[in-house]
Amino acid sequence: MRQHSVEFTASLLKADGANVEYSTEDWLKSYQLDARAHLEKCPLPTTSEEEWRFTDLTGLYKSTLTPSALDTPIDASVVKSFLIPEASSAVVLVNGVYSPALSTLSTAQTKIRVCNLASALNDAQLKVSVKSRLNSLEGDGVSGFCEMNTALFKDVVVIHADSNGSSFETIHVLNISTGKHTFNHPRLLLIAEEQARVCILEDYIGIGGFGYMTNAVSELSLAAESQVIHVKFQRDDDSAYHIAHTHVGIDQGASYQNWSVSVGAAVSRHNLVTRQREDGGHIAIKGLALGHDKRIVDMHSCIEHTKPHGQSIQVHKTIAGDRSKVVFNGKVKVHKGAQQTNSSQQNRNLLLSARASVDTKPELEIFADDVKCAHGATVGQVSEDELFYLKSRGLDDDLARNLLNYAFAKEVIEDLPIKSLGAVIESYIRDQTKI
Amino acid sequence: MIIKNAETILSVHNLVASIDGTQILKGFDITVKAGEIHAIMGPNGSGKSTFSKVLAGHPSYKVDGGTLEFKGQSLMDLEPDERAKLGIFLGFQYPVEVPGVTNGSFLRLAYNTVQGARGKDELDPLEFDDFIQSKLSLLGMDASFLERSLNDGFSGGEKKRNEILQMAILEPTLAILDETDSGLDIDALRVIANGVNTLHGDSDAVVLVTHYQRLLNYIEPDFIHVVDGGRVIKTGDKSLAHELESRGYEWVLDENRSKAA
Repeated sequence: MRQHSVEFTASLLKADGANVEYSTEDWLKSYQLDARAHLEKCPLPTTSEEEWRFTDLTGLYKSTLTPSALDTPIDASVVKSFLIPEASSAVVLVNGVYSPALSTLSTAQTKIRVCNLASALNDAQLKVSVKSRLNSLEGDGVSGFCEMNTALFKDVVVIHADSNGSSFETIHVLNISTGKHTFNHPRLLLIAEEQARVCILEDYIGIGGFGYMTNAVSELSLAAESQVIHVKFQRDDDSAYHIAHTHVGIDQGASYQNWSVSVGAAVSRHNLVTRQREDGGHIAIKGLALGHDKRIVDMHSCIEHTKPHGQSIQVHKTIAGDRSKVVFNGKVKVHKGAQQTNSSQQNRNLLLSARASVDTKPELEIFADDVKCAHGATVGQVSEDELFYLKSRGLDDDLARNLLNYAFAKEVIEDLPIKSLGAVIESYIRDQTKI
Repeated sequence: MIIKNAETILSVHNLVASIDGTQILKGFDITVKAGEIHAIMGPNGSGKSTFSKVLAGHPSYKVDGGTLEFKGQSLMDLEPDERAKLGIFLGFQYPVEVPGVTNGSFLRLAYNTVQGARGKDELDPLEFDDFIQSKLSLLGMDASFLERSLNDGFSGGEKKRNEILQMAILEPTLAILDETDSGLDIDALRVIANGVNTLHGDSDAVVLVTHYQRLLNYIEPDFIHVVDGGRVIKTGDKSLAHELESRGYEWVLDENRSKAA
């Protein structure tokens, strides 16, 4: 197993080594070289590591992947069908690279700036911000895949939300994979200044792609009193491997609302780390994962309260059908001195088939004595009483079960602020939870 | 209303039923004809709620013997949804909350499934909105009820109104209302009773399952059955309800015991 990982890691670094263009920026160059050096010593994780015990990547490690082509032609009308009307700007990345032709960026003078890494580095002020925040991954939830992304990313989407935003502008970041057995490493950096407001949709799809690997890293930095809504929607091709790391830093009194919805890929893994860095701050995370066919879908979240008065609320729901395997690992860490933290976590899993499985592990690490932390996890089937109620109103067994599965999942996205996306997610729920 | 030569809607004879191996119904008999209102009363644990669930086809209950016929057709092998399509409606004592399903779309789905099975045209959302307006006002319900999740966060009174609203749109031939009066204040009770009285006609029948006589002040039954130990031990007219209210159940139970002895 480890041997497969070693070989796979080396093959990725080598495959991309030939055409990698190190940045002229020394600091960036050193990040990339350090990451490369680290990977050569510590390859990508396997199931022998505790944190990756349930995420079997043998299939990925045994496959031969090549770098994505950088000039794949793509039908603009197909791309358009995935865009949402609520977004003021749509940033489209094809295989991890910003596509100016497919993107539509708002020209209005607003508080939000969206650009790729090259443009960000051309702006003296923005460059300072980017330099201080890019690659600030640390602590729990970091894995070799982060290093791999840092070593090999081709571009970075930079979203800068200026201070004192008056309304929530919605930015759609659409990541498209087109390759067959290729890899790409999308990177996102969001910088929200004091009292900024922004809503981003981080969206992953495959158009024509097959058996590819998406290895995404997103870093979000929320300054004091800022408010960020972040929706991550993973609807990659059913044959794909989707690995994602999201790291969020939250300053004084800031609010971070996350929806993580996973309805695609053969194997997907999302590490979501949110860290309250200063006094106060509010974290709300809602997750929905649909296990379908032989899919493995894994969410590892970590909420860290390092300072007093933080609040967090998490609801993660999954449905495991067919022969799928669903994993939830929800860590909540309350550091010493983080008094009056108020945290609650709920994980509910619905099993639809005798051959599906759910592994759930809530983990609370509390080192402060004046805190409120609640958590609960359930694994179950549709209740007989609910079923009887619906059937007594004329719905046959299949219809009643479908309705209950749908309702179970839909509750998570009911208050999603992007309404058109809610309808899209609902159609996935309908398709993938049908008996 | 008792109508001469009316069609028999429900015929139950010597019904024996159990849950998890414990026998609850031990020879239950009742005959209900079109136009009639029956009340099934009895102390807690007597088996009256079990009877309503067995009638609607709850999967946890096993029928061990006897007959259960709706308009001459045996219900024994029918699923709950098949019974609903035939025209049997159970108003639940504890309606189930289903977050994520809007009340309006659920009601329309139920209407189209049940009424569609009876040969009526299915209604699209706009047509259904028109159809349901008069039913809502009958029960003093606001249209915003339709936007909420099915029974989710409803007060006790709202849930019961929603049950009668479902009865109104499904137009059953036989409605069994299980403890519909429990947890209602007097105003809500009046609204619900008025709803049931308005919906009830000569060609359908209503069975009220209740612990108290209070509901019967507003919905006047033609027959009252006292249940104990899983059987009907006394049947009378509405005056029996008043006697039960003033004297309690004990004397009926005593009478029955001495009869048995």
